[in-house]
Amino acid sequence: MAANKGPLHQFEISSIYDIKFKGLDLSFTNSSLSMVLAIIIASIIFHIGSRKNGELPNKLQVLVEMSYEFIANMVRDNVGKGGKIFFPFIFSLFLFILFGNVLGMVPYNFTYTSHIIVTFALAGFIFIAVTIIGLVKHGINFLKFFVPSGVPISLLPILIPIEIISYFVRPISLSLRLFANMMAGHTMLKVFASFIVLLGILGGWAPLLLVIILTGFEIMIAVLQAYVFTILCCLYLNDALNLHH
Amino acid sequence: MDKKEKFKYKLHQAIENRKIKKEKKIPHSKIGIDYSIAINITIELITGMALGFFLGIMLDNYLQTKPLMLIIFIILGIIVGFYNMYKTLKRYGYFN
Repeated sequence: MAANKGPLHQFEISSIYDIKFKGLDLSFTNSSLSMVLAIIIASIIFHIGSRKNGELPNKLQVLVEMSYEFIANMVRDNVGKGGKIFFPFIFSLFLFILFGNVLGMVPYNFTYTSHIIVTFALAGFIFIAVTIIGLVKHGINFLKFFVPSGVPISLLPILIPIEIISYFVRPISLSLRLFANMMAGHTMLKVFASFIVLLGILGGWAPLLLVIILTGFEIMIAVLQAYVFTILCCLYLNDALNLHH
Repeated sequence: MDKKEKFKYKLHQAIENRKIKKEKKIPHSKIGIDYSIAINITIELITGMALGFFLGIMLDNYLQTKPLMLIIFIILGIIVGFYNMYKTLKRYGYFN
């Protein structure tokens, strides 16, 4: 019954198909299922949308072209020189997070971005990749990144540790931001939805109205957070590719 | 003549004022963006402090200097948190 399940029950992972490999638990879970679903749906939409169809573009094609243009502009404006080769990665990253967030709003579907391990894996990969790109491109000069320009030398012993810690904070804040937004939003929705049941037909209308507003708000947050994650990824790439402050 | 010019001047000013007002009008999506900024800077502060805390504990265990590194790194973490908050807000166009 739904009544004895708390607001955090929606984040529980359950195995669908058990796979054990050398003592590792590689089971196909509901999280994996929703990831696969998101990728399949995104692929289908983009396959149909990018097909040649007639003289006038239909709605799907416009949607596909708009999202392409949106990310292409983002990469051009924020990554700048030498950012073009990263476009496929950033575009897939954006779609993966966007579909995870938006499909998570569908009832009974699992929101994989509400798990910190998923977002941390994405952010950690980006962090390591950006560091390697910076080191390969600039060599030892990349360490100049930690020395802020235009600062008196006497302040440097304080500022360099701050810059270094603030660099290592990046993957944590990047992953925590997406995770916290998604988890907080979904928990809030569930809590207010349970108020409807508790207050019954007499008093349940007020939380129902609130839940409707919150659902719209949550969809907006879902899109916004996908955007924030990708734009921060672009900014970090820009830092690594074009060293300046 | 003087009156006419005065009127023209006032009219011009009124038009300019209206333009400024229109530009300053808050769009509907402003609430969502403010919410997002609030969450972002909070997370910036928390992660800075948390990383300082964990680095301090790890270094203490490694160097056997029980409270010293924790204190230093928590202070550093708080500074980093505020510094990152400042950088985030700057990216959103504050302090300009």
